[in-house]
Amino acid sequence: MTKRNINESRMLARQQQYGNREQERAAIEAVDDFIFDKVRFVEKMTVESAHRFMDESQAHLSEAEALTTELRELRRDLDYTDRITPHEAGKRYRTLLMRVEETQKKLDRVEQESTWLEAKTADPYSNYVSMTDKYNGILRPDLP
Amino acid sequence: MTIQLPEYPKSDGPVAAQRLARHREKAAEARAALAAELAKLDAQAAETLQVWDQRDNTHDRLTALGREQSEQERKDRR
Repeated sequence: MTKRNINESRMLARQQQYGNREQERAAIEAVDDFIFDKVRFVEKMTVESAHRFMDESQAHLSEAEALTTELRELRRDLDYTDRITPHEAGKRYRTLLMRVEETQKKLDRVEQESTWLEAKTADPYSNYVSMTDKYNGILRPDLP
Repeated sequence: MTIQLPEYPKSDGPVAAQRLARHREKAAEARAALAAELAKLDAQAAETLQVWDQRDNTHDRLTALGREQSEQERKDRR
């Protein structure tokens, strides 16, 4: 059985014939409330996961800030050529470079994940509609 | 006639989306700052290596000149 698209279901509720205005209002409200509750549930989970993601990935931003300071310190040490030996400079540079590459990859992922979650949270209703469209039959609710 | 469906009420999602947008911007800024600082470090390193190389050359040349002078003096004494 193919379930209807969320908006189609809401439309259908509005196109039905009812005994009186009160029945019509109650039926339409029941369908809207039912769907909005589903949207709210998915939205709540998405928002929670967004907050968790931002809290966790804050460490990568702090790490990048600390690393930028370390790069600046090495640059200053190199500026005063007597502060550091060539071997020490090489060792510090190599370690820092590896950390920079690793941190940049993490920051890339933070940007991608933020963009993905941003699209989902910005418009919870459209997100729910497209999600139920995508997983037709699994996620589309049986309306009251 | 087109039926206008009532919109989903205002909720927490868009607020979280704004925070996520700021978070994404901060990550991009941090990445740019890292790249800029690395570029500055590379430029400084190139300059310092040149100084060190020059210092090594000067050291080698002076040592060689000193060695030649000592040998010449030894020859002259004989």
